[in-house]
Amino acid sequence: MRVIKLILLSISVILFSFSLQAQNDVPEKKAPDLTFVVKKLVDGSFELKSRLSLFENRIDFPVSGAKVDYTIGSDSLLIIDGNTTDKNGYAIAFLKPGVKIPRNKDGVITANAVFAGSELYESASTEAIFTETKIVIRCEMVDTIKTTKIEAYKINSDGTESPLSGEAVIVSIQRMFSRLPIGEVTLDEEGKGSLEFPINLPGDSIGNLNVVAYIAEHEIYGNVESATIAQWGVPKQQLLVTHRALWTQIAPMWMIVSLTILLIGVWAHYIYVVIQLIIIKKAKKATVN
Amino acid sequence: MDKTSERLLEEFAPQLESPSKKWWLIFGAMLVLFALGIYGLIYQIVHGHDVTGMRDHVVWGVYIVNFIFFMGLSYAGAIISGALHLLKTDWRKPIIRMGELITVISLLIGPCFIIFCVGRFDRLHYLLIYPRIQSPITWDVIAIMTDIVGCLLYLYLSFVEDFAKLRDYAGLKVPAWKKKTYTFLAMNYRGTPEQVKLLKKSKNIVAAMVIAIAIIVYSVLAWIFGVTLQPGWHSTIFGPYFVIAAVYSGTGLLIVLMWLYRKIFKLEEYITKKHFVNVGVMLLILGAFYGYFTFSDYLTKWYGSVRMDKILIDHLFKQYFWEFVVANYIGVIVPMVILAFKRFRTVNLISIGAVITLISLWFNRYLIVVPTLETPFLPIQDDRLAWIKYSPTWVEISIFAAGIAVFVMLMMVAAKFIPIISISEMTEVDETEQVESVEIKPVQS
Repeated sequence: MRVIKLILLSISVILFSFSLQAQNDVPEKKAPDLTFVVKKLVDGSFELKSRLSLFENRIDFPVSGAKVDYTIGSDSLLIIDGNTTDKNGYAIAFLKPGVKIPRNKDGVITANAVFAGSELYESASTEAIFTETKIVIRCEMVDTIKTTKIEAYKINSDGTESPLSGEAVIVSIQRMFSRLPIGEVTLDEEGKGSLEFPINLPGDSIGNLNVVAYIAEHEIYGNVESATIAQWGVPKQQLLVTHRALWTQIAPMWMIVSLTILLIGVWAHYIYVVIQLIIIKKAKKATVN
Repeated sequence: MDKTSERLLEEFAPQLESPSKKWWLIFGAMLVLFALGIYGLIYQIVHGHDVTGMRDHVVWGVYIVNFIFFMGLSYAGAIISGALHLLKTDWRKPIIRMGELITVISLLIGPCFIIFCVGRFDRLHYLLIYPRIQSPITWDVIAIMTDIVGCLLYLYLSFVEDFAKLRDYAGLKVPAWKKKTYTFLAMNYRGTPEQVKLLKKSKNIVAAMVIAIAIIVYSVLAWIFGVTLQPGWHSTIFGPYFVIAAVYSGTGLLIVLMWLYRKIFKLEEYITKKHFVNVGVMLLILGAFYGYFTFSDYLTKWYGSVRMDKILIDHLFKQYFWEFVVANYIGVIVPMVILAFKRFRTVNLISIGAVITLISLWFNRYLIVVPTLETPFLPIQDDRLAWIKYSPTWVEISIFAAGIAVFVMLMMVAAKFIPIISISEMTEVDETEQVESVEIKPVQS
């Protein structure tokens, strides 16, 4: 009896300890990774794009449904309404053109992306520091040569512009899935440069090409782009119906020949066997008669 | 007539005489199923295909599944009986006729399901009037018609000697019309050396032809799927995969029929355990090939990770989980386990394995046809679930049941018309056999 009591007591103690442990098992918060990119778009607006993800076992898992807030400036703050990350972990906000952006005395803009954290994740924040720039792109004929002209300026703290010299601007054509680079323009002291435009590039149905000039991931100027339409491409009609070889009026010769050989081969054997059957029948008659 | 033939005729004659009450009872039950199918068909013709589960997306349902299934059984019958005939294996003799009957009866039922699936009967003859050689459907029509002629010829050639024996056997108590039919079909065959030689030669030619035709025709059927740019269908191995799957299912059916006829006609003396084990070994090998092809097909699709293939495989593993397990796991593993271990190789267990093979292969066809059509490349505007998801209605099920009933009825009628064990095969002396007189020596189990 004593032994039974001892066993029951032991079981109770073990179960109770498990119960206590379960109550103490508060899941540990995970530290997500927050990346942040600011890009000045063609229309002069800014795209603020951040991505929240978690690295586990060397695999990147996007964190969706998390609210990310954005601020710009350090002395005076411009607060942009936060966005919730999508299924790929992205939260995107836009700053319309014309909004007064706080910047320091050197014209440098500091933007922050902040994730306040949640029950499962720790908070995370990151910043992007850049100087606003402006690119002007024009496509003009210079002595019968198709030329792309680039001008670029940096925006000072008082809003004035000064030439962006010595920097490289990439000129490209926007294609369906990516950009096709056609050259790099190095800007002179006046922040200007030009590029001879290639001929025979396929354009849309009337030959239009979307020419994009951009600076990407620059350590001072960040990301900026500008675009224009030039009717310098070769007009291309999109083939709506793909031609399929079998959808012709007459079947391919190899198919007709193969089928004929097969069918003649098989049916000839059938006819041969039927003839044998007739001979079998007649053979009997000959014997009887 | 030789003594052996007489002895066999004496033994098998009662099978051909007046049907028993049990025979009529089973036949009546099948007739009821058949009538139900006819009612379903009339209902479908009157109300249109709306009474089936087929819609804009899934335009091929159980009808096409049954078409492929029955055609597979037929081609399997042709390959098995043709191969057994040409290889002159001694143990083939009592079972070869079953293979021949499977060939023709399945071939007569299978194409009917195509007709049920066609919405416009009135345009069916367009297939013959306006054929496009480029179309796999045209290949199939030509191939099936050629195959039907070949298989009927093969069946007839293998029956001629038995018709002659039945004509000449005085002890056969059958109606006069039946005797006259035997006389007519026996075609004045008297077994003269010249006739024997010609018949044997003809049989060998047609046996070889039906094997080749079966492989080509079933490959053509597979290419209807294979040449279509649909997820799950566009595969280069579909031709051989279909042929292997067909022979696998046909071998299963042969074992089931062996078991049934053995029980019904008490043929234990002729269809022994050895026959079950031998055909079972064929089933084992074919099962291994079927499993290999299935794995190979799904592995390449899964690894390729083409978007639609991925969606389809997800679909198969989620919505069709049990069907997938039955078709591709149970259908391979269970028959193989039964046949791989000597202790499981009993007549009943082998037959159970064969039944599992048949069921799993039907589901295999279902999984080839339906989930692919439920996974279209382009969604339709109004994609309500009932229009995308397919499930057969009572109309389709009744016609399916009628198809099985017709198969059973024709097998029953055939067994009343001609001995289910070929007397001519049993008394045939193969060229390789060095015997002076033909003596039936049943194989001991």
